[in-house]
Amino acid sequence: MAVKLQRPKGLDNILKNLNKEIGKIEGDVQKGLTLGMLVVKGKSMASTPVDTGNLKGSHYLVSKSGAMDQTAGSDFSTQDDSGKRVAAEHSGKVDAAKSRVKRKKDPFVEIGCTAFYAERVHEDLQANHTSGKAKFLEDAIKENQQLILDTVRRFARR
Amino acid sequence: MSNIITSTTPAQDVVTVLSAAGHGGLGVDLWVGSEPDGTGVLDNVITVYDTTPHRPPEINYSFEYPSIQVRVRRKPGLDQACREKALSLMNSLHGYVGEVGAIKYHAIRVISGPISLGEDERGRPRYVFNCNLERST
Repeated sequence: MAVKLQRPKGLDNILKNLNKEIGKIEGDVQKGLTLGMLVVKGKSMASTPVDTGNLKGSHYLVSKSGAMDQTAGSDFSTQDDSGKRVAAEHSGKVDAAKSRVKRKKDPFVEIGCTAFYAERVHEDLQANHTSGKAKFLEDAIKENQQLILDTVRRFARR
Repeated sequence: MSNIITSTTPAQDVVTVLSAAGHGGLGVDLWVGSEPDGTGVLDNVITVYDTTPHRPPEINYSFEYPSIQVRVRRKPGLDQACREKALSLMNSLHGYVGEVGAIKYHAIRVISGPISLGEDERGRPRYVFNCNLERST
């Protein structure tokens, strides 16, 4: 049972603790895990710095049942080379995530951003953003650990 | 009763630890919360930021789980030296146990890095790494 974060990095310990707690829960864990992480994805997107909107749109979540809530991918701004690259790489990266997740035996969710510059924006605490902030995904997970666990527990009991 | 530590932030204390380890002085090489820029400011600087705690603090006693980010900037063209400096700082902090003033640091763990942020508008390379801390009074 696991949650994996694909770029940006920096949450190993938090995910380790979260996975340990999830591992103690019996029953159908996958549904609650997916729903809990969908909330995290939404919160992360809400606090992602927006310039073209491509970074925000490059968020993805892949669970054992496939890509979830994949509203992005066809909606990237491709007016510059950077946008063209993000659009060109998005579906390939999500497909790679799907095959990684498919190989997992236990309940599993992978969440991340496919934009090639995601890590730099995520880690640059000095950048001035008119909207959003650095550490958007990390903070969304840190601030919602209990919600994820509660959601997993609630759906596991059904 | 809870007792949130208010005397110094983790970033301030980490700067003290780095200074004691020979990585420079506060306000010259080492900065807290905001990377300096402009005339008269060194290119080679280290800045430490407080980030969101990795766990909430304990309620019944004073024990906190803060996180920090350390950022290294070097002169243009010194990307490798910048990375090496980040690695050196990581070595100084990872596994640190000690006291800074009245605050006990039970563990500092480097959890990711060094991560390249590329070059700034003046061509200076920048690397960051992240740490989780445990501290109490």
